[in-house]
Amino acid sequence: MGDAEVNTLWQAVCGADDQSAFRTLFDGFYQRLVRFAADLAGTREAAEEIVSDVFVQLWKNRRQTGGVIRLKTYLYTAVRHRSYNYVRDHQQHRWLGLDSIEEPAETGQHPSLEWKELQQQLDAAVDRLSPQCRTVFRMVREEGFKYKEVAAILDISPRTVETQLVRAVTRLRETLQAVQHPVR
Amino acid sequence: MTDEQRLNELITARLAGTIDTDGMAELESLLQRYPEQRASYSLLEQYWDAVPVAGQAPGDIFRDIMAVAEPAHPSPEKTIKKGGIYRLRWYWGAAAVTLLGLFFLFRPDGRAYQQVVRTADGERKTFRLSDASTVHLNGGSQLRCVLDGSGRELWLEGEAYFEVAPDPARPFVVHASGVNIHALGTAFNVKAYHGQPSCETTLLEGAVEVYADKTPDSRIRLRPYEKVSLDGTASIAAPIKKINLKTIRAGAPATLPVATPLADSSLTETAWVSNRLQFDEMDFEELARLLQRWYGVSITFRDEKPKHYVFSGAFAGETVTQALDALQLTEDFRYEVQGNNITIFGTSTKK
Repeated sequence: MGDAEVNTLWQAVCGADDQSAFRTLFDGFYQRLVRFAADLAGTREAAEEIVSDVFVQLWKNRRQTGGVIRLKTYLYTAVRHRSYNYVRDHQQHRWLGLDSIEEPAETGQHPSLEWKELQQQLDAAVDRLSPQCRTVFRMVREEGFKYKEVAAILDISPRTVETQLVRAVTRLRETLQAVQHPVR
Repeated sequence: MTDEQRLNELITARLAGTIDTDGMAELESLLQRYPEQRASYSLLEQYWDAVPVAGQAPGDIFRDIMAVAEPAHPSPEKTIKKGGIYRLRWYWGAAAVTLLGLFFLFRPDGRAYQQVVRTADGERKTFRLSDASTVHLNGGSQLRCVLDGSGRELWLEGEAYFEVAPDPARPFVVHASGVNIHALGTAFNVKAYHGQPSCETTLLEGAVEVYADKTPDSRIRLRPYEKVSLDGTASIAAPIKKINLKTIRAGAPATLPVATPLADSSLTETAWVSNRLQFDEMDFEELARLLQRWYGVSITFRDEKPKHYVFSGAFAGETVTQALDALQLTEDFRYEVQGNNITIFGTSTKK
């Protein structure tokens, strides 16, 4: 969904209480926001709840927020805030799994890989990135956000966004090299 | 910087679309110098562009959301007849939201009506008034509401958080411990438990005016994130404390357009709305009163010493014994549980 389309739909929601436009926006953003929230909040269940809640508030507040906001940035920012609140409120019960600790990429055993397998290896490498690094990578790659937008949403400096993205790319290139030139 | 590091930077810029023509030229010359990098570079590019397609959300999730966001409530006249109180599905609080203890009294003319909502200790309720305002009622509290065509008046004993639906034609006034809080569309917390010396009002959003019964001409106007503590029986109304929340607000981008912050849970005054029991530098005696209301238990101290321990912290999903166990990590005390009664004593005073 392009920015212009999002904007048109959002205007219909604010101006005309258009529920079907709201539904289209919801369909367009829900799964992506859930993935984003799951990255931050740790569990899929929590992520679904957080995103649902953001949409509830969005509909309720549609008149007050109308026109003045860029919806996409707003949604990601709102989800991030709620995810952080969630993590803070559940901190004492949340343990980081061992596999979430950043590890060097596995050395591939297959000299020639099919594209599909390669993609899976790279997906796995992305999963192994540090949480912030992974979030930044996904936001730029999958959501097409600019550095500045990522910085605003995550409340970090644009410089950090760039550093993290370079780090992610470095890690992926290492993965690719390991796959192509396995250590014998 | 090594060529390898530079290559990483340039490839990142290329993928993210921030590279300029000079950068492109530099990248090209580096790839010519290290031709073995070209294959992995193009694979990475291919991977970058193959963005997974996010599926569509199941339709029932959307229906659930709309059921909460837009409860199908009837017109105000019908609402009055039906009682006009709606249960709001409360995503955040895990507390069971019950509507027991809710009474309706109708005036003879059937127009204006009164609702009374009560919570027992250990119980928290969230409900919606017929004007679409939302009220969260903390434990051990009572709220009496009279809503009619000309005004909205509420009488509180205990603690409540209000999210007021804007309606300039009908002022929204909360009366608590001889203090009156006059609100327009706004979100604020009022704490006025019986036995508490003053009534505390914390404003999260919008504007409220606070004044004591005795001094209706001396009104205090609060700005968001200000708190006023007012003794309704005192003769002079003066703000006792302002809360400064610069640090909390700094995290939020200035443009954040959230119109109704759902009770800022990072704030001690409203943490309870998010089902958090939060306390800052509170002595154990006072904390015990808080725990009593929160968990619906009775706590007594067998000796003096533990009463003066000071704690800061927050509880979310803990049981009362888990909470006490956590407190034991900081200070030395013991406790005994017998049914609903908990006795706290120092470690030196063993039975």
